[in-house]
Amino acid sequence: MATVGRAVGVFPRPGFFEYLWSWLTTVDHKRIGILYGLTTTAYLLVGGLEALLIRIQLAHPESRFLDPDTYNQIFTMHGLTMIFLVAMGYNATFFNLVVPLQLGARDVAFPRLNAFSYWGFLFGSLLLNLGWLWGQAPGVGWFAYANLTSVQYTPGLGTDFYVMGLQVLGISSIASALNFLVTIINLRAPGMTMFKLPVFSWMTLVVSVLIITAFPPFTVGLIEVMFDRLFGTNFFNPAAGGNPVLWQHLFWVFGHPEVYILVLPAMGIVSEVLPVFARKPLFGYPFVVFSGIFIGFLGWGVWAHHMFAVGLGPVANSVFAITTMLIAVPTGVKVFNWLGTLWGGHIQLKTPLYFAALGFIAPFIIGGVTGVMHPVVPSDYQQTDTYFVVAHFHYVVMPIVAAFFAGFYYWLPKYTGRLLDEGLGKVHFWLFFIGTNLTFGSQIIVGFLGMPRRNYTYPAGLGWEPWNLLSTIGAFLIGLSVVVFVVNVLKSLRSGQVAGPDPWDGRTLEWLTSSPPPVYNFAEIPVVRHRDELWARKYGAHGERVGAHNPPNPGSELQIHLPRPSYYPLVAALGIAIGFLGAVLIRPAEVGGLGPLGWAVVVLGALITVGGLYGWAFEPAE
Amino acid sequence: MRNGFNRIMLRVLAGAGAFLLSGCSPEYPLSWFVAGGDAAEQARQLTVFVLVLGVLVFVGVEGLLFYALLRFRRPAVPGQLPPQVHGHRTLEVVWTLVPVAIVTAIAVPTVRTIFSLATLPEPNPLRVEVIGHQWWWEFRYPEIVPGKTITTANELRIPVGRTVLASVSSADVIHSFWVPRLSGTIDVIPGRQVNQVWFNAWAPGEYYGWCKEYCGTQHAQMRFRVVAMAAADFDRWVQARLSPPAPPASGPARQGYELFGQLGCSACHTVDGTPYQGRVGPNLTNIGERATVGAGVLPNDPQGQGLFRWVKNPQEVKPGAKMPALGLSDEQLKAIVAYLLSLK
Repeated sequence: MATVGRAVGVFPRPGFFEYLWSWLTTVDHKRIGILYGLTTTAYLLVGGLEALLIRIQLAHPESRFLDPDTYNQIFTMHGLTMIFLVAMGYNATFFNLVVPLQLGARDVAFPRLNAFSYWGFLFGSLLLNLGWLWGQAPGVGWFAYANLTSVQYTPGLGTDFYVMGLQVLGISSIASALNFLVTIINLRAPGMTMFKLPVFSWMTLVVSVLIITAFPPFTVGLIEVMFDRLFGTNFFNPAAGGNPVLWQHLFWVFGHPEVYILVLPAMGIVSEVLPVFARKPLFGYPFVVFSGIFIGFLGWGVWAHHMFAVGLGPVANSVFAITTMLIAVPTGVKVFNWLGTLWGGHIQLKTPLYFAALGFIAPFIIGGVTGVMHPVVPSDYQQTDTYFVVAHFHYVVMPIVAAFFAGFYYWLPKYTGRLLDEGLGKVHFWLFFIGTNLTFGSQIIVGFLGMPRRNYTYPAGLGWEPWNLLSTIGAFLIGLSVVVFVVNVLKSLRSGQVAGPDPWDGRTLEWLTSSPPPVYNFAEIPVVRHRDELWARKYGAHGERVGAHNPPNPGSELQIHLPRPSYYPLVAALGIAIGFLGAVLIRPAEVGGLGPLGWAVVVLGALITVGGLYGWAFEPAE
Repeated sequence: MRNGFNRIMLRVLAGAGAFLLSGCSPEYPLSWFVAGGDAAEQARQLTVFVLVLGVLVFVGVEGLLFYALLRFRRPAVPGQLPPQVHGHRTLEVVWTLVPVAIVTAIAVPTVRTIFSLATLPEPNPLRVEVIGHQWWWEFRYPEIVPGKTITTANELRIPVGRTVLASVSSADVIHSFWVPRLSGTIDVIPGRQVNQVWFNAWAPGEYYGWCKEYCGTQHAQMRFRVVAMAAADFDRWVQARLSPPAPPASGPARQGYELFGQLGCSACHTVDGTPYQGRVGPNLTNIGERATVGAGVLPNDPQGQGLFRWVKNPQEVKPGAKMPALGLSDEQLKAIVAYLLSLK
């Protein structure tokens, strides 16, 4: 009798689908952070590829590499991708990975809402990019100035994908911001008063408030564009008495706070990394925190500096010039406090510090100096919409990217358990640093030589050729640096040096628990007595060494309350995205829509959303 | 580390040097560091002042940063910590006040120049109307003599020395009017908001202008020129425009004149002094004397090669432009070009 071999008494190994399911239904902030990080890195590659296509086109005058409409879609999607998907995505990544651990919390306040935010981000980003399938990605610039966005001037689906994609992303961002606002206010470990809060968490708090207040006017503007396009209203139609400048106000009263939404978390990362690698506390903690709050506050009062050429009049232009210049003050205070942090320290020039100090602060100073030149309104009349502006804001956003890299080299070992390679890290840094300065330094000069933005081609003989070629070469160096980064992460996952709980001799609570942390983060919630709690536990409040830091006490695992996994947040987010896709498809069949059939898709999306929210609401917590 | 630092400083110096040399050279017709009139000069002076301040701040702060990173670099020794300094109140006050002082030094001349540029320096300027179209420029001289208006396109002629007051508006979407050597940017907005900007030119010459607000497919090729002429030359030009010559009587130009009507060119274009009164595209009355074709896209050479290529297929030169390719034969094209070149 033949016997069939069969394993008996062995638990079945969890298969691929169980594993996938566990990620689809996860509500753990660390896993959600990793999902955000992976999605965002994919978009970093997409947005970077778009940048390289732009630079190939502009490397030479009169290039025919891209036709004008394709170029216009690519520069639009480069901006949208880098701002809404990469910078916002990495912000959400670090909020999720770091904030609950820094607070000494087990998770965020609303773990399922957090999952919903991630799925909204994923589906919204897909919706924003879906136009490529029609060959009609948004082509109106990330700022989408009315009345170019009316059906008369952009009849295709691109502008509809812009409106609907950004609405879904906005819902996700506001849900996430509310979540972190409540988390930071309510879930701090016992003893962690607001002025013992680590600076990164402080900046997350400020940014959450900015997101909650800045997105609504943008949402209103988007709804008006949607109504103009779908239902024939005339908000922005000058022929019917509408005012296209209204859009610019609505957009920039969101768009400028958005700049600080992007930069403040990066400043938070830098404020975390510098003290650890200088081995002394952050210089002037209250000043760093208050200047961050002040920057966020001023962010609401400067929007018209994007509109100096609109003709608002000399009084309005003067007022917005002065409010804008004021931002130099808290920004300067931050930079000087960072210098004060480094000053007199024992500086460890490891990769996170390279990215924080040389990658962020050094080029950010250029971004700041060029930034102060814009509110000089008569100069701005000249330099607005030239490459000088492009260079300026890339000297702000490339430091932000550098800060994210600093954050990854610094914090990723906490979640993977393995360090990244220092050698590759330095190759990554120098390629990135040289590439950034080559790309955007050249653009400062070509801007001074009068090259306007958003031009798919330019003639020879205006003195722009060498600088454009240099800029393109620099862009490829940046691209190469990102490849090195990806290789470094993969290498670290395979064979990186084991990090241990506290590889950098850290100062804050995330380094108290194991790497990677258990799903519940801390077996016992730590009690906080000092601003740099872990440092104080290791070295005493005044720097005298008082003993090794104590690893967490694993135990009593079963008594820790954690929310159950759920797929309802995914369903609800998917329904919302489908509903908004339907709103795109209401457009007539001649331009690629479904006409009235699009309403069926809207209703389908609404039903899925309601079903998801219903299941979510009635799902038991345990 | 030191190597990297030297490399950076070298590049900064080389870049600044190249820029200072290049920005002042006449080969860079769109650089606003060379002013050709009073309005641009006010902006230029202010920009140079702020740029010098900015470079000083840049050098100072970067210097401190690099010094700190190099000077305090030290391996971590277990049990040894640097002094755990938490802050310094006087320093905080100082480095709050220093940016305040710098910003004040910039704000005062900024506000003064804003108001100076908002004030018309001459009570009786030459008034022109600028109308932006996707993707070309219409220029009108309303009531240049009582009861008569001149309309032209893509080339604005002005007399040297006289203040020009441009009222700008748009026929479709938002554009921006910018002639860096003469005038900063002013948005060209459809609807009720008609913006005004003044400028003058110190010397005769051609000044490049560019649409600066992204306005759709061919935003990149919506260029124009301002041609400053001696006052007497300008007056002669105005007189010539006010009494357009009769249509050509014979030869290929006559043939072209007839084709212009038969083929439908006149549905969109106006030629003064003829029955051709289309209002959609540029007024072609003086196209023969303009420096470029297609809003700055091709040179308008006396042999007519630029015009030939343009009329043959505008979509090949400027994809997306509103003018279609009419599928004309080479004979027809030659006749049309001969007629257009005769219009001066």
